[in-house]
Amino acid sequence: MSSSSSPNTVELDILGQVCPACMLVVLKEVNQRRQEITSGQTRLLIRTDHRNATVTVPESIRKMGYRVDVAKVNNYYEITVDRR
Amino acid sequence: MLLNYPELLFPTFLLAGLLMGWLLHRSDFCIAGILRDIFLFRSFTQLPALVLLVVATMVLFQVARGAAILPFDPPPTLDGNVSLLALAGGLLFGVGMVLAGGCVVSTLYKLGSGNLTSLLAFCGMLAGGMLYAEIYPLVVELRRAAMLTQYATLQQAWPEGGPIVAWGLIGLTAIPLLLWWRQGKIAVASPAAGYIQPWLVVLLLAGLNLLLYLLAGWPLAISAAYAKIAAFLELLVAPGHVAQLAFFQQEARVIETVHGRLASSLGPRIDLIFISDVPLLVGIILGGMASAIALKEFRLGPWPPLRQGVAAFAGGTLVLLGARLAGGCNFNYVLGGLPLFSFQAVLFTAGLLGGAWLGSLLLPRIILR
Repeated sequence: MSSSSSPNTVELDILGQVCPACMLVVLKEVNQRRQEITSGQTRLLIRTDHRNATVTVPESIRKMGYRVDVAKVNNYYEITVDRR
Repeated sequence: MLLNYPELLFPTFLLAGLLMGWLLHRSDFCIAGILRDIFLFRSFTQLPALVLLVVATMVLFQVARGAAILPFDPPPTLDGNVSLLALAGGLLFGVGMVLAGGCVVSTLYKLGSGNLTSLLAFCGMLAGGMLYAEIYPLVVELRRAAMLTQYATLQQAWPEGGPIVAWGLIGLTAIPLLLWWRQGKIAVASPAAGYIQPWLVVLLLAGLNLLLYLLAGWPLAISAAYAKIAAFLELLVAPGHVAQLAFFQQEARVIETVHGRLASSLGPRIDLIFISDVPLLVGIILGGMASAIALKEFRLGPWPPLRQGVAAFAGGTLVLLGARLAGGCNFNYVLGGLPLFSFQAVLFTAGLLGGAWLGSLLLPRIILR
């Protein structure tokens, strides 16, 4: 029986950044790592303290065909981008 | 009217600011973001809330006017000097708000939550106020040359037809709102803790706007506070120079009360603007701070990357330059002027949209190089 390996987690820290700059930075990173994420090789973990980013980032990334989860951690949020 | 009891102005506006800061922080409602995201990301998520805000305010103002509890004359924050500078000011404001990541109000509640990018934008706005004071004599000449009409509002220009057009426009705007409601686009799905739906916040904001208009004599306005704070700061380092600047000496808002004529300036004086616009500004910061602390989300810092920080400061400068050039900000014109069918507000909003588009072209080139 074979098992798939867990993806590598790449962290993107955009704490302190506000929209739209934080969104532009995230989109650039996601586009640069498109093949790694869609192949399941990489998971992107975004750290943000900008509340609006928890709406705008998932909205845009999901439209690109990825799976996005959001969780609150301490006083900021973690947005995880995986292949669907 | 609160102006008959001026000692009540400061606490009333401070309380209004606290409430606004809290609600806006919880709903992430940002006019700058809503207009910018249309051009930058083709996103319309919070546009229904903005349209609802303007329409709800229009309805409240028209009903209040019909009931004779609001005057048909425009408030002192919407003067009759309609000029093309409103368009130019809106354009500058629009570019600035994209670079700054917020407008004159959203910057405040984000600053209150500890965001240092917004602090840089806020400092840029103060710098914009100081810069405007230097170029003010040139602006006066330009404004005179660019004057379009002395009528401030549609109802001033056309007393008989104004209310008909107003209600007609309200009725037309109800159509997209109903469509959005049926499509489930009025509510926003957000995982942020303590989120309050923007549609609810804008209805409360419209009510607060009417209340302040009834109590104080003018709807929400805040950019004058930035100019006044800038004047006080500049007074600390260059008092002689401040005394010479015409911008800080001229009358900015004049109100008739039972105590007589109340005039205020944008200069470093304790006057009407100091006890109304300034506590509103401070209240929004504190309201945002209180909301962030209650959610355990208050974080001081970190500083943004250099390019973002410079863009925020420069953007803030353009925001205040644009606001003073136009004679008001997005809150004054979009939330106060448009509902009152002010010509100046229409020009400003047109410029604002153009500026948001232009800013959306510029920002990626600055941030992502």
